[in-house]
This record gives sequence, structure tokens and C-alpha cells, in this order.
Amino acid sequence: MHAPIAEHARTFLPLTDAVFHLLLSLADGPAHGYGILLEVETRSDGAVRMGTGTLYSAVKRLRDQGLIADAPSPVHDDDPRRRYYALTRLGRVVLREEALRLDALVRFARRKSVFDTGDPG
Amino acid sequence: MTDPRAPGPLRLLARLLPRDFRREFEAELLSVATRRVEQGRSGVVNESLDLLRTVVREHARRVASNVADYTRGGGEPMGTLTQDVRYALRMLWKTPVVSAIAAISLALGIAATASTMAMADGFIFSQVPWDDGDEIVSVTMRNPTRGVTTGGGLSAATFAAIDDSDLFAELALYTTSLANISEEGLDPEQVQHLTASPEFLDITRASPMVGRSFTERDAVEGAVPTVVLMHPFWERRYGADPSVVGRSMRMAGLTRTIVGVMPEDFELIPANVQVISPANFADQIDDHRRRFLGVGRLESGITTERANAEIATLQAGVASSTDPTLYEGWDVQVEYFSDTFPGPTDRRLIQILLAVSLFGLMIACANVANLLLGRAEQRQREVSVRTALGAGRDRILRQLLTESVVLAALAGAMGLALSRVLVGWFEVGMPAELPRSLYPELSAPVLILSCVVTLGAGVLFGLAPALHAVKGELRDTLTGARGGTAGRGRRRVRNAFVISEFAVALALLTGAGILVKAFQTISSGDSGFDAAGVMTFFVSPSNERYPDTPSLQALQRDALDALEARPEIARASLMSQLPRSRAAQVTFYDIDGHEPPARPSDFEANWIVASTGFAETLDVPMEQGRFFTDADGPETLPVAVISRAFADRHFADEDPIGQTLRLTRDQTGPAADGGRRIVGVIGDLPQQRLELNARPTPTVYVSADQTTLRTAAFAVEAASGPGGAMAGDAELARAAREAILSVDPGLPAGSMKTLETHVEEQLAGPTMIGVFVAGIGGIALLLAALGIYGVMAHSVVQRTREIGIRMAMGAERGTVVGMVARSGFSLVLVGMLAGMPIAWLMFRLIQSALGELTGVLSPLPPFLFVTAVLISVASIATLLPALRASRIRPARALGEE
Repeated sequence: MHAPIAEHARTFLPLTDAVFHLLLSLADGPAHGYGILLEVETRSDGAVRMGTGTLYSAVKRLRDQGLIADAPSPVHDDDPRRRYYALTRLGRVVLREEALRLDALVRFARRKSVFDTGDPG
Repeated sequence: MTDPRAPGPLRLLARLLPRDFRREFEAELLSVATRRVEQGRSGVVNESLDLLRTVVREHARRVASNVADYTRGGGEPMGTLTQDVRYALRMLWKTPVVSAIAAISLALGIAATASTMAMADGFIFSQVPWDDGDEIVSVTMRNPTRGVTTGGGLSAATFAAIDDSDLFAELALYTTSLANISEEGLDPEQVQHLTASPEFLDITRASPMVGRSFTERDAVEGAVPTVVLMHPFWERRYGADPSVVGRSMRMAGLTRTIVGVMPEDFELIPANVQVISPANFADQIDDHRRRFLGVGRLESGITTERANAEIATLQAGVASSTDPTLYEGWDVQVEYFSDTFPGPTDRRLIQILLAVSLFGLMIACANVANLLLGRAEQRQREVSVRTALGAGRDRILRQLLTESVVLAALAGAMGLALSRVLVGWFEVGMPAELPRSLYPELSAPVLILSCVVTLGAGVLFGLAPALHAVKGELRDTLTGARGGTAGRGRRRVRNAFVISEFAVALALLTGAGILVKAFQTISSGDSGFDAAGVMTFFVSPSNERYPDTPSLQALQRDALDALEARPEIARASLMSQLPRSRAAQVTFYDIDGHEPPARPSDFEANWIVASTGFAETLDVPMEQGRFFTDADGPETLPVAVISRAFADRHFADEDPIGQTLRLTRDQTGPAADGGRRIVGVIGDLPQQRLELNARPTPTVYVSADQTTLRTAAFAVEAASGPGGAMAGDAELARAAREAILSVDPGLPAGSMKTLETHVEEQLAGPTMIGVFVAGIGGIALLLAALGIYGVMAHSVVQRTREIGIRMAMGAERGTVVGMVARSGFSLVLVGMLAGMPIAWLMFRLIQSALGELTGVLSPLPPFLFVTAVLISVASIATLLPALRASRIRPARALGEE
């Protein structure tokens, strides 16, 4: 599994917040721009707010880098103008590698007991 | 295409996105953003800000990837640019003469502008080189009726009165002089010595890098005398040895302890000071000699106006406590140092230089635009073909713009290289008293400004031709119809260029003519003395070793004898100042039996103390009577020699010999009672720096044996050696130095240089400016001539068909020449008329800068000369194409279309 693709994927790390959230929104399946923004907002309880410009800037870059790709509209969508985006295989691996990286960081932090100390409120 | 419901700011911003981004995402981005705003999930402001960031980010990304592509060997977008640049270079190369002329004219314009800006940057915008230097005020005296508007000396008495007031937070008095230092193991040396109140260094906010500064205690009665060394002097004389602090040296007759060394970047004004020592001026309330300068910082809240008003009252008190005539006409002036330095004359000269170089750049730009316009026309067909083949209009525009930017970049590089040379050349002419911070320098702001000017000129002057080429008559050109007579509007533009070029050239050249003439007049004609083979130096004996007039006179006689005893030296003499000195000493006078002047200042003359050999050493002819001889001693009848100009002023109808002069400088001694008997009339020579040879100032000479002279300028003339050859400069200098040391081993000869070098140095500034302006004027003339030639040649080509028809109808060759020449001359004439008022303004500017110098000058001769030159140049530039037109063969001209 830790084939060259993971090596290649790691060259994209670390991801910016916007990119991570974007990729995460696509993890369950293709979505359109508005849907991505909605997902990010609800998932984070409004803590993460992404501007539309930032979103499409990220979309363009990720597509140029081959992490996401255009996807066909699902049959139930009534608006033919909407464009859907989906994770590519590389995109999925990048998302996983980033999640692993973050997880490892958090585990290091836990071992140092940083969660138990400090901020009282 | 875009969502019509989208908020205006978003729509506007979206338009700024890069094209490929827009193509793909603009519609969707706007519709999503609109929906979010409508559903209250986001605000227009937030979305706009985010979009703005996106715009910037996307463009930056594009540039970055272009650069990356380029470094990788050319991707698509950058590929277009490299292609454009390559094509531009090829096109420029295709018309090498036109391109070279355009590039060179632009380069010259840029070089002139950049180097003058460097100079102006140093002079006008630089500050007093100390911390909070803009707070520094100078306290000096002025006497407007005597033409001293600032910078006159202050007396210690006035200083004491001012120092007692609450006007100043800090105040110091200082003066500079020559002093001799001696110490074991090192040669005695003459130095520039600054004596100042102990607070002086604190006012500069600088502290020594080694050792300590002065304190109040250093200036009290009986304190150990101390000195602080300036960095360059410490490096040179002591090899930068920090252990000199604490050592003793003798200076100006006192044994002093070196207590500190100033840091390298610390500069004084004047910048050639080498040693600083403290003095107590506050106690000298009875000293009314106006020979000091004040410097300080005002108490906060005190304006210079208020300070001046209050000091006027204090000064009135000082004047009433002594002989009031001592201060008659003099009042104290407090002003910000940055306003007084550099002086107004230098400031105006810089303004003239700036105006001149901007004019130069204007002509250069007009010329470049003109040339490019001409070429753009010739290339219309090419442009048309490319358009027809589907090249977008902005693509062609971009190509043409690239060409002018490439041209401007080439010119800019050449121009900046040239300006380095010019700046280096300016630097040589800077006087030693100026701090380095005022030296011209191609600093970052100057370079950036120059680059902006360069690129601006390139774009601006490339744009007009480019627009012309793209706009309008493209189809006409391609179809070939009426190509010859098209473009009336364009011709008007080019005509306007030629007219303005001639207008500016006229003004510039007239200005250059006046300046060059003015500076030439200074040194033109007979200077009245012969500087060849004369070596000069200064000797400044200390008060302690030579306390009185007899001891000074004895030393001077011994020194002259010792000098003349050397085989290398034919003659030696001394004088109070060398000819053409920066600050000439003056005296008022009365003449017995003559009506006294209404004001004492009406009878004012240069005051020169000289020894017996003066006239022979400098080869100044005696016109009447005699010069001083050994018979004129301290005990004999006080005598004076007057200059030709002096004699002309007062003794036009009578014999000056035997008349009696009373000089205000003779305040003590026997001369004050009996006056001085005039014994001779000597030829005129310029004593002041910018004095005209042709208009010498009246001068009175007094014998060194009959007055007191401490710091003396010596002049020695080389003797022919045994082989008949004159002693060389180095030989002469060594002989002089040794002779002086043989009289007093502690007495150095300083500022050793030939008289020729001295005169050259004094005239370097004006000469430099004159040459610079004349150079730019010459370039302007050349450019204007090229401009008109280009336009005329071009119009002849364009009118080939018309001329052909006329000739076919029987027009004479002469008629054709006349027709073409007339149209050219009318442009020149209009240009000249338009240039006259500008030339007049230029003259007034120069007049205000040079004042008296231009008093003798009329603007008319340079103006007429320049007009004649311009017209003859214009004639050639017009007639050549006109003659070509007359050789047009009708059949050929008609068949050509």
C-alpha cells in the first residue's frame, strides 16, 4: 500500500486549512462548490469560514495538481450549470497522509500530556 | 454570462481575475457567492475581501508559474513574452540607425536626469548629518546693507548675552582655524582645528568611539587642555591606534591630552576639521570681535521668529555696552541649519541643473516618440497583415509596447552606466569642507526614480506610436489605397513634437550659452598674474610661541630668507591670502582730501597683506610707483599700494602717489594716526573666488612689515636648476617644507599645492556646471536636428506621389524644394517663437542664481548665436529631404503605388 503514490502524496503536505477541509468535504463523494462550503461550515459548527474566492482558488489549484477532478452531475440535481468535483485517487491518498500526519502530531502531544495542563477555561 | 443578481463589487472584482481563471470559474463563483449572500451565510464585504485576496493570489501564482516555466525553458504564457522580446530585438536590429539614435538619445536624457537627481538628492534633500539634525539652529550675524545675508560671525559678547536667555535648550559657540601640532616621533603638522564650547559635541548627539567627550570642567580656568580627534585624522596620523587616548601632544602652543576619537561616520561642517578642542566663551563678555559661529537647539515651543525677536533686544543691550559702531548694521539671526546649508546660490544652481536635465529628458523622449512613431507608420503594412491573419489587437499592441520597453531598458542601462561616470566626475569637484552626506550619490531612491522615469518614458512614448499603428487606417493600408496621404492627425502629432523640441532646445541652449559665457567670463581675459611654476602653502604660527607682531614679522622675514636661500627657489613672498580665495578680507577706507562716503560701506576694498617679493613672484606688473621694499619697516612711514581698479575709482584725474589712505582695518598702531601713504599702483588680479578678471574689485595692499599677519600664504617660484630646467613640483615642495622647518622645527607648511592647482580647484565647480549644461545643450541641439530631419524625410516619402504629380504637371525643381523647405521652416519658426518665453525664464533663473556674475552679461548674444545655430541646423535637416524630393521622377513616383 505504501507504494510510490504515498511518497508522491507526501510531497503535497502539509495542507492548508482550506485545502484540508475541501478535500474532507469530498471524502463522502462528489459535491458542488456551494455544497462544499455548506459542508465545511456545518461540520465545523461555523468555526471555519471559507470565502467563495478562496474556495475556487483552491479548487483550481487542486484540479491542476490532480488531487480533484470534475465529476458528472448526479441525476437528482435540477440545475445543469452546477459543476461537481470529486477526489482523485491521488487526492484521497493525500487526504489520508495528511490525516495520518495530524494524528501522529496529536499523539505526540497527548504523550506529553499537553491536553491535561494549561488552559483552564 | 455572469449572474446578473451578483452584487456589483463582486462582479467588478471577478473581472480582475486572470483570464483562464475567469473562463472557468467566474460564473460559478459569482453564483455561489450570490447564493451565500442571499441566504445570509456570508456578507458582501467578506466575500469581496476574499475575492480581492483571490485576485491577488491568482495573479501572483500566474507570475510565479510563468517564471518557473521560463526558468524551465519556456512555457506558453512566458513563451509569448520571450517571443515578444525576441521579436522586439529583431525589429530594433532591423532599423539599427533609428534604434541606436532612439536608444542613445534616451540614454543621454536618462544619464543627465539621474546624475542631476543624485546631485540634488545630496544637496537639497539631505539633512544635517547628526541625530535630530533638523532641530539644529545656527546663530550668526547678518548685515544686509553689506550683502551679508547669513553666516556672519558672532562675538563672544553676543553669545554670552544669548546664552543667558531661556531661548535655547543647548547652545555652543565655535570657530575653525589652522593650528600646528607636534609631538615626539612624528612630523609636525598643520591641522584644521575647531574650537568650541564644551557642549558642542553634545549638541551633535555624537559621542567618541574611543575615550570621552568634553565636559564643563574641560573649559574652566586652569583645566588640563584636551582635544578630541576626528576619525580620518586619527587613522592617518596615528594609524588608528586606540592607545593614543591619554597621550599628550602640543597644539597651538599648549600641551594637550587626547581624550577621545570620534566615530568614523561622524561628520562636522566644515568637514575638513581634524581636531576639536574645548574653550570657554561664556566668560569673554568683553570680546566684541565677530569671529565665531553659534549652533544649538531651541527650547521646545520656541520658534525662530520668537528667538530672533528676543535676541534683537538682547543684542541692542550688547551694542549699547560698547562702541555702538562695532555692531552698526549687524543683527543676530537664528535659523534652522538645514535652511542655511547649502547656501542659496548652490541651491539655485542645482535647480538650474535639474531644469536643464529635465529639458534634456523631454527632448530625448519627444525624439524617441517621434522616431518610434515614424517607424510605426512604416510598419503599418506589417501590422495590417498580422491583424488580417488573426493577431488580436492587444497582441499587436503588446508587441509594439514590448519594443519600446525593450528600447527603454537598453537605454536605461546605458544611461545609468553613463550617470555613474558623471557622478564620479561631479564628486571630484566637491569642496573639502562639504560633508560626505552632501556628495552626489546614485542612492537607491535616485536609482529607483531613474528606472521609473526610464520605463515610464518607454511606455508613454511607445504607447502613442503603438496606438497609432493599431488604430485607424489599418484597412486603408492593407488595401493600398490612399496610403500616401493618410494620417493627417498623426502628422500633427509629429509636428507638435518637432515644434516642442525646437522650443525646448532654444531655451536650453540659450541657458547653456549664458551659463558657459558667465563662467568663461570669470576666468577669461588676462588674470593679471602668472601662476606657472609657483608653489603655495600656509604657515600658521601659534600665539604662544609668537605672541606679538614683532615676533611674527621676524619669523616671516627669516622664513622668506630661508626659502630664497634654497637653490630650487628663485623668489619667495608671502601674502594674507592667495588670489581667488573663497573668503577675501575687506576693509573700509577714507581718502584724505576726498569727500567721505555717505556710508562707510560705500568705500570698501579687498585688504591684502603682502611681503616685498609679492609683485615679482606672481608677475604682477607695477603700473606706477613701487611695491614694498625692505625700507618699509615697522618704524618707517606706513605705506600702501593700490590696485589699478582702486586708482580708477578714485584717482581718475589726479596722481594717486602720495595720497593718504585711512583703513578701518588699521585699528591700532601708527597707521591709525597718520594713515598710509600710497606709494604705488599695481595691476589688477582677482582676489575673490568668482571675481571676474574683467571686473576686478579695488584692492589695497599693506606691507607685512607694517601690520600683523598670523596665518600667511607663502608663494615660491621655481628657479632654473644648473641644467636650465625648472625645479619640479615635488622638489619645490620639499625645499619649501625643509626651509620652513629650518627656521622653526615645530612649524609645518600646510596645504602645499601649486598656484595653478589652487586656481583650478576654486573654479572647478562653475567650470563643471558650465561644461555639463553645454553638453546637454549640445545633445539637445543634435536631438532636435535629428527630430526635424526625421519628420521632413518622412513627409517627403509620404508626399512622393503628390510631388510626382506636381512635377508631372510641370513644377520646377526649385518650386518643389521651396515647397518642402517652407513646411519645415514653418515648424522651426513656430518652435522658436514658443521657445522664447521659456528661454527668458531660463535667463531669469540663471540671473537669480549667479547674481552679480550675470550683471555684465546680456542674454542677447547667446540667444542670437543659438538662434543662428538652430536655424542653420534646421536648414540642413530640412533641405536634405527637400532636395531628395526634387529628384523624384514623376513616372516612378506615380507607378510606385
